Amino acid sequence: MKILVVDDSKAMRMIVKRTIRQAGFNEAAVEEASNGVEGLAAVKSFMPDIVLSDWNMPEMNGLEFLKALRSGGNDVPFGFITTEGTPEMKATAHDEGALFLISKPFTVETFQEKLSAVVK
Amino acid sequence: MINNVIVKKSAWQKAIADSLQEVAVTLLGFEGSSVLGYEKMIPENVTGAHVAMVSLRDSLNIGIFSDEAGCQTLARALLAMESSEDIGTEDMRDAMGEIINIIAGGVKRRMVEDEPTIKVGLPVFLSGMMCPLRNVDSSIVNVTLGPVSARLFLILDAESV
Repeated sequence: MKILVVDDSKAMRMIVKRTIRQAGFNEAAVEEASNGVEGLAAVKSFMPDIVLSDWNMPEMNGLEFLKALRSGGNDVPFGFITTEGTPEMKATAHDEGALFLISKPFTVETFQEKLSAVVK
Repeated sequence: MINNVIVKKSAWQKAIADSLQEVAVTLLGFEGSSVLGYEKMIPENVTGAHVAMVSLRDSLNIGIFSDEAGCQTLARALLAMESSEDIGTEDMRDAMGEIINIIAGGVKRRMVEDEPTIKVGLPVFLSGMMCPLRNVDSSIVNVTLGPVSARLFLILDAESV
C-alpha cells in the first residue's frame, strides 16, 4: 500500500505517519508533501493508493489540491485530515470527491476504520 | 445565515479552555489542563504560537505561550519524544504552530453554531514582544498543560467585544 501524506507541518506529517503504523499499516510505503502543489507532483511520481491531506496549507490548499486532481482525471482515493471538521466542510469535502474527513485530534481507531475501508 | 446571538468573550474563553483540555489529553498525552487564573496585560516577552480567527462579525487571535523549555516540552509531547531527546528549534516552532492550530480547530467546532462564518488562519510562531496594532481587548489565561506552565492568549478586536 502506498500512502501520500500532504501537510505543511512536518510535525503533523510525523504524527500521521506514526498513526498509520499504529493502525497496523506497518508495510505501507509513505511519501510526504508539504502543500497541494507538491502533492500534485507526488501523485504523478509516487502513484499512491490513497492521499491523506491537510485542508489549510499555503501555496495550494487541500480542497484546491483535490479539485486539481479530479479535474485532471485522477480519481485516487482522497481523505482529509484537518483541524476544522465542521459539517459544512465535511459536506464540501464529500461533494468534491473526498472519501472522508478526519478531524484533529484523531485516534488510531479512526485511522484503522478509514484506511481499512480503502485497502480491503 | 448568521444568527443574532452575541458571542461574548466568555464564550470564546470557554471554547478555548475546553479545546485545550481536549488537546492536552488526546494529542499530548497529559492527564489534562488546568486554568490557574486570568491576567489583563500582555506580557512583554513571549515564546509560542498564535493563529488568527476571523468571521464576518468577529476578529480574534488565540495563542499559546510558555518559555523556551516549556515549548520544547510541549513539542516533545506532540511528537511522542522522550524528555531526554533533543528537539531542534524548527521542529519546536512547527510543533507549537500545530498545537495552536488544533486548539483553534476545536474552538471553531465549538463556536460554529454561533459563528458560522468563522475561519482559521495559518499559525505563526513568535518569540519576543507582542504588540497588537489595533484597539484590542485581551485576556491572558494562566494554565498548566501536564508539567508545563503556559499562557493562553485571547485577543479580540475591540469592535468584536
